[in-house]
Amino acid sequence: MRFAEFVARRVLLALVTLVGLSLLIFYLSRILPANPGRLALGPYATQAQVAAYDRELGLSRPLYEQYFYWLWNFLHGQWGLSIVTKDNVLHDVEIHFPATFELITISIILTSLIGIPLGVIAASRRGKILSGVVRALWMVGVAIPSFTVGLGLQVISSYWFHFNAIIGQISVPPPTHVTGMLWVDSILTGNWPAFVSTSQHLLLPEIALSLAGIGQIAQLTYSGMLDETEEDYYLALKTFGARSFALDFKYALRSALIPVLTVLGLLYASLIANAFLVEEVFSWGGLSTYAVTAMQSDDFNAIVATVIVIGVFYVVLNLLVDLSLGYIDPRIRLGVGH
Amino acid sequence: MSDSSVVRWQNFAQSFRRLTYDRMALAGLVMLAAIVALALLAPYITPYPNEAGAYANFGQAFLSPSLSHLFGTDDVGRDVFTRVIFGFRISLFIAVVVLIPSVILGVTLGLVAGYYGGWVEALVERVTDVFLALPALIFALVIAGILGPSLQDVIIALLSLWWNWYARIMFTLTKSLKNQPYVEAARVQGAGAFRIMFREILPNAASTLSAKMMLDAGFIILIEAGMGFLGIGVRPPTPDLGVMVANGSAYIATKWWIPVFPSIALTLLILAFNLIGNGIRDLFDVKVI
Repeated sequence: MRFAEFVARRVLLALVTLVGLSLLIFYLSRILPANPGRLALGPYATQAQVAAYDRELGLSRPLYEQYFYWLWNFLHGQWGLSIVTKDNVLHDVEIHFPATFELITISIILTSLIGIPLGVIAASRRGKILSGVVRALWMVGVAIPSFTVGLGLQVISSYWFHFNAIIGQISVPPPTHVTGMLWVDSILTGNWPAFVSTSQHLLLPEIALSLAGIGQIAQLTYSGMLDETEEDYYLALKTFGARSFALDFKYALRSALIPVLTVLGLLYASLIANAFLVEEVFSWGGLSTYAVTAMQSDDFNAIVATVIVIGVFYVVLNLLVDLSLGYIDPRIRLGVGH
Repeated sequence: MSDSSVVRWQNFAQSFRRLTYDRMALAGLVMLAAIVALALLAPYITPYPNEAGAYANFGQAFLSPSLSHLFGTDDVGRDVFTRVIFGFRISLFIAVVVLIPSVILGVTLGLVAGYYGGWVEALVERVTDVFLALPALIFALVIAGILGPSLQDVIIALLSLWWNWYARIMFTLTKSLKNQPYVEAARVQGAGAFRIMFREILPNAASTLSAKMMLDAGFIILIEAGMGFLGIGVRPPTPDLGVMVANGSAYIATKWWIPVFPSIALTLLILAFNLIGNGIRDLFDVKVI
């Protein structure tokens, strides 16, 4: 299979998946509830208000027409009003998504910058304390809920370190709006006080969000590196007197990195789920906080919108992981191996 | 017992013994056995079994840990130790009730799809694609959020999601195992599709499946606790570990024992499952993500 054909096929499958997801969400939000208008507006709405809401959704029409009507509107930015914020849901998402995106993007960068070197160093000093640390970090990091880590960090830092940036995103006036990501904006606008404050506020949520991933990536790099050090080329280079730093970082790491990059991609996509828990702990005003409020108050337009945004983010990232793997390793394109 | 089932039992016993040679897996097995025993015996061994659910005694509220209240008491005067042990029951119950039907349904679908291929394969692949197009926690939150949060709806939400993974993993395994020589041999001997799928392919997928099930049990408990923590899961006064952490987090600065002990309990339970799962994975050298 040529690479272009592989790409086309995967993109098509991703589109089919997203159409399926939209059907599923449509079913869950419009058909499963017996009376969506009443459910969304609550027991105190008048019958006329419910009827108007139902008419707006087109609930008297056949199902397939309702779906296409809804899909058409959604694709044209008509995401409806939120019953919580009384604002257009699209606008709400535009406000809240950058905060979550910034949180998880910085987390995945930190995870790579800490996890990969940690794994390499642990592997090059085999049997030493560090490999035990990596293994323990991996085991405990995956088992301990991120909300527990978050709560623990809040208490420890405020009690013992008198560090008070334990809630919210910023405690000085926010920087001028450029991207909506406060930390990035404070750099772009050269706003030093905002930069310091956002950095402090990012510290604890980033640790809570990244801990599990750092352990996972370090362990994966470590075991990948150990496998490489048993390969013939590695032993040959070693016998020829290659310096161990070059051996580890230049040769072994390169081959060990393919599975690591795959997992990093998948991890990035799934961080948006852990962000739900971390945002709750740190009162982070991101998409997750918005979605949880929507779910608690049966705000259907907001639920549908956040789920679709997250679904697109998740599917597109998984697609990119797939495509880059196919690019790096032709066996995957051809469907052999595995 | 027929000869083949004796052999299978011996294989199982031998694998189990080898698993206990792995110190980490053994630690996991011991922890899990202890937790299961505590959970099963909860009404008999907890000091105040009537305080597990709907109960309030404000005179006893916020007592710090002592001999009469090992883990202290919470904001309405319930014994935290009792509630943690009952919390194990809820977590383990949800893990079992979600896993077993998911495995049965998913494995059967995956076997059929992988064995026959064609449109069945395409259908199962596309359907599972859709269900796996969202992270597990978010998918479960959406369904439970729409159905309305309760123990039953949390289980429905997790069930509607979880079978997909087993369909996926079994499908992939079946596709690679169905061309093995022993399957060919069975076919030459005149074995039917049913026999090949369930007696030849399935037993050879058992190691991968059991590693996956152990890791998933931990993952289900983690997700269920997360749902409870966010208030879109099991509702109070049910002694759910995630809900207990969420409610206790309001008092973490002064009454640390209310959220801390449920957090530790949750971590140990998940850790136990992960240790066993990783042990099985290492033992059989199988790949599970």
